[in-house]
Amino acid sequence: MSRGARITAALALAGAAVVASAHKPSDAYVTLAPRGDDVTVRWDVALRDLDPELGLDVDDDGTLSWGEVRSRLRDIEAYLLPQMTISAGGAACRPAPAGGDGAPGRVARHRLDRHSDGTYDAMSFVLHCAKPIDVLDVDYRLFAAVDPTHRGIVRLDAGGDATESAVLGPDHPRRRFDLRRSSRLETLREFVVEGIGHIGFGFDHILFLLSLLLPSVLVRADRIGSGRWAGAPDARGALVDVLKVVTAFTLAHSITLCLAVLDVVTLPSRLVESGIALTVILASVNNIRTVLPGRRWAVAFAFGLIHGFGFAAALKDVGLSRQALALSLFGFNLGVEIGQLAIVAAFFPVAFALRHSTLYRRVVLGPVSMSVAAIAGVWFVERAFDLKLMGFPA
Amino acid sequence: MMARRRRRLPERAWRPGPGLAAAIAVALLAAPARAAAAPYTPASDEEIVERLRERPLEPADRELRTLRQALRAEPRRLALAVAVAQHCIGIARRDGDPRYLGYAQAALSPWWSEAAPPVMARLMKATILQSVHEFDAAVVELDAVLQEDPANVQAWFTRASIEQVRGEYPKAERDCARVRDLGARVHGSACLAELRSLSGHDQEAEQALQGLLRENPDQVAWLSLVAAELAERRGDVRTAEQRYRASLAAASDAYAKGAWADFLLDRHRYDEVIALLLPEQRVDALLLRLALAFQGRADPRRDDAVAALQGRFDAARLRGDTVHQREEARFELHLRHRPEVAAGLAQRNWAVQREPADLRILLEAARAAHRVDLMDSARAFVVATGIDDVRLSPTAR
Repeated sequence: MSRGARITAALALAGAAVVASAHKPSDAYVTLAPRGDDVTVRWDVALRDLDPELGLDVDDDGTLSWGEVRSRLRDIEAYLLPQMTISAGGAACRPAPAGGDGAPGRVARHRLDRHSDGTYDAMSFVLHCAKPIDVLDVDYRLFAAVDPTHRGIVRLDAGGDATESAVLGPDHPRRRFDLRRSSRLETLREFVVEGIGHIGFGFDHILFLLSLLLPSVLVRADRIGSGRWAGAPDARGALVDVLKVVTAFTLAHSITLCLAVLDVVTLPSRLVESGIALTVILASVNNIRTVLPGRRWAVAFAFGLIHGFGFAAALKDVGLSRQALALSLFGFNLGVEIGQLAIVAAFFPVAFALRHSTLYRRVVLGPVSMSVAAIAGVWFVERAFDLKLMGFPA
Repeated sequence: MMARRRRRLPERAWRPGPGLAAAIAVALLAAPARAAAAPYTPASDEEIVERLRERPLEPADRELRTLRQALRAEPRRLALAVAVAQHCIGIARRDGDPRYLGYAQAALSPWWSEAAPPVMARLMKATILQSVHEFDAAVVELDAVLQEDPANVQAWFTRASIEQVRGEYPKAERDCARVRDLGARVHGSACLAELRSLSGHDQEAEQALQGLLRENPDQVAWLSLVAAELAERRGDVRTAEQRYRASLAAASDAYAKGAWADFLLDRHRYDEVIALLLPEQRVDALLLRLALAFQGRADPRRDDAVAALQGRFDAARLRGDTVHQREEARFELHLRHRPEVAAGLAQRNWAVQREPADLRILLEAARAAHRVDLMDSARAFVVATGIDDVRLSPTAR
């Protein structure tokens, strides 16, 4: 079981020196630092815990001298080492041959360290792993038979800020550290990519956005809504129009994305998916004949709310970590925005250049909107009635 | 962390036999820390690097060694395992050392995860669980014991003790009445008297306890402690002090020392607290009181004590322990001066245990942090139980 706790910084020695040691349940502290194919291990075990198992206090005077400990270091190692197995890629890592400060039969360097409840044997050694260390498995069994409340507090130090920790004991002796996803930056990058991928391959979102943007480079030729258009007089007005639509869409789907991911609002996916198809139909038909009231940015906002639920379903499929919820939500949304901007960047210059042409108004706006509406119509039927009409990824 | 005082039945009240007369609520005092500095290598073999015990081996320690050795040879001998567990729990209580609770659990390991372990193993398991504040799990075990053996006085008594700690006074009264009716008259009556007092019937409780004290001079240690706490809640300082002194003179454990230290701290008698607790720093509930006394008389040792306590709470959090929340709330409120943090801790603690000390820190922290919601919870408890305690502010009473 992982408790996500972070090992806090060492306390001032003064505290430990003046105040007597604490009574506390038994813990051991393990730090694992993987570098290349090697793992440097530091393992601190209380002398108080080793004594009953190994009989360190030979003269039974209730105190341990350094001599009593030093003369038994080989036995301490022989006792401890089999109690923790570290493996990479399914193969156990073995102590590197050069170790043990040169002493025969030993693999570790032993010093002493003070913790709040007394003196610990601080053992350091290097393990060599046969396979590359992508995933590190720790299996910890120390004192399981003599003290089931003993815990091994294991910290992975993967360099930089990347630390993770786990509390291991008899009920939960194993922990897998995945070094590939240990950094927050890595998590963020992963979710940004997911977000871009989702809009890039989510044809329904692209078509919806394009349907809304097609008229951005045009202005109504009349004010009655008969569907007659003319090219926009300048880039500024057209760009402001695009910006309004995109911003409204982003704002809306961000809201419902968050609400759905946090389980504040949940809708059945069939409703969401067919709703999204419906928004595409309405947005494209609206380009031919005005069927939607209000300005297009308002339409983008209202329909964007529905698309947000679709993004949330995709994000939940990817799998969210509870610890990195905010981070993954942010990353995913950022990815969606990046994808959206890329579409706008590709669309706008071409559309703006063609805005005065008859081609744009006669061929692109009408027939393209029509085709989009047709495709979306098929999606709607498929999604609403759970049918499979065409092999189109949507 | 410092759990309720021990509640032990005299051997005659025990049904399974004299061997089982172990402690019930053990003063569990964990207090770890990562006060690691830099690793070092001692200069010479003669250098003393660790002190394993503060006192010479006592007969109980030697007996435990023999028993554990025997148990290693025959780990499935129930009577032996229960004897080892009892000894360990006794030492954990005497020294406030939770490692011994781990050893007790290890002794019971052949039965620990069984669906239907023998009654004796189950009772021991419940005791250990209670000691680490796993109250729900402990009650499950006790219910099972009582199902199988409805006349098990110790199980009724332990369950009453948990219910009392949780502030479930009517339930606790029912169970205490069973204890009395099943033949453990002194324990049942004292337990009922304490509950009457907690429910605001001090006069009645006072009379009952005085009677019990007269008739049972051999039980002076814990009867006086109950009576001292009652007098303190009533504001009868002189009587409370006499009774604390009588109790501590007869026997003392970490719980009794803690209660007495709190009494002294409330009266700004810091030097007495320091003299009492200077040798007790291993137990962090007592180190907390010592730090408060240092602070009260502006003693420079305060900072070291605070640093050590912080280290212990940090280490406890690392392993996921939450048994120290009452002490940690006091630490945050009075020593670190962080009322919001203290209120959060006091609130989480209140969800687990509801003794007068828990009520007091809940109110103090809530008031300092302006947490009206917590003040309301505390007031609701006061109204529901009728508890009367002069140490609570007038706003709460």
